[in-house]
Amino acid sequence: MIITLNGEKKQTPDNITVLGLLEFLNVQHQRVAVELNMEIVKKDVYGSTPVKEGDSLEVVSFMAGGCGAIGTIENWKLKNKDGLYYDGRQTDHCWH
Amino acid sequence: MTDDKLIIAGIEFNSRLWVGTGKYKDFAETKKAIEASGAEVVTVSVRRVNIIDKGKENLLDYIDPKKYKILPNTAGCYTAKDAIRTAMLAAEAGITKLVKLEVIGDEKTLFPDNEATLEAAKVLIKEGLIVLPYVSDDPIMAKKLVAIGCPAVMPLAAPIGSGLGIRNPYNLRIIMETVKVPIIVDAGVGTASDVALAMELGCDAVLLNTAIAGAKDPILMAEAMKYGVLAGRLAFKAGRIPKKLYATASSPLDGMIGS
Repeated sequence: MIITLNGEKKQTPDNITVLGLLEFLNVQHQRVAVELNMEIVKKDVYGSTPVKEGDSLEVVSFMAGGCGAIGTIENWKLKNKDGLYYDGRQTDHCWH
Repeated sequence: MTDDKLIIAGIEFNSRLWVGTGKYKDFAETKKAIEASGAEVVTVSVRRVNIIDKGKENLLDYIDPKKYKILPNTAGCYTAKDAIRTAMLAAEAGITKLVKLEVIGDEKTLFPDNEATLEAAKVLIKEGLIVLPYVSDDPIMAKKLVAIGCPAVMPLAAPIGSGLGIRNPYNLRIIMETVKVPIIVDAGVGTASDVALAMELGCDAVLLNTAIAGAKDPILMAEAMKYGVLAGRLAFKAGRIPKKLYATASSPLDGMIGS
């Protein structure tokens, strides 16, 4: 069957549970959180929650991040080439 | 300083420097920088798992949740709804009930949408999360957030990643006098002296990311930040001398030659 997984169409086995899907995807389910059609699925019901044709799932985990959202590291470096990149020699701080 | 613990919602924090994990070259550098910083709290974002490239390493393989306190954030959320959804997912991942709530109001400045932040905080607190909100350095906002149950407030020093340092130390002071919860300066610091200043003012902790990750030598800057926090904290506790316009001699006049 076809489901939408993290925003993309994905072919999966039929008659599968959330737990089965995570195993099929080879995702460590201890460190993830799952949303099925915009509703959070609690970990203790992964094994009893069926996934059906056309369902939309989000599988998220913790990734690198500080404040705000950035694209890839490459994007960030590019963005900062035009003088925004911190450079000790250019600094004009210490106004306090 | 080992007994100088920061306590938020009953959770003890051994370090007053909190660090983000974004913008590093790789996870190995992230790990080294965090170790050098001595930080115990590490912020992470909540993102879709890469299903296609499962071989990819995970940040938590490098940052052990048993050793560090993981602080999930809602970075990149522009609406209360998205921030609530992200925070709830973070809590469901099962590591912590702590969340650094941020609802961004504008792409260019990354200034927080305070109104949406307050709205999201209300919902998340009802859901049982420990909400640490990123907000403007606005004492009224801080008061409102504390009134609804935020156990700490995280005002910005300057725009995220700007490195401009503490732009309004007076507002931070007023916030500290207005609310009686820990104040964690979040975002905008650029170097060790900025961090020291925040701590000298009496702030309880500083959260930063870019100032370390964006430095030419992130590991060295991480170490500098560690000492910046310690120096500032000690100076705050020691109590600085008042500023005066004229000199005060520090050597006795008695016994000078020719007297």
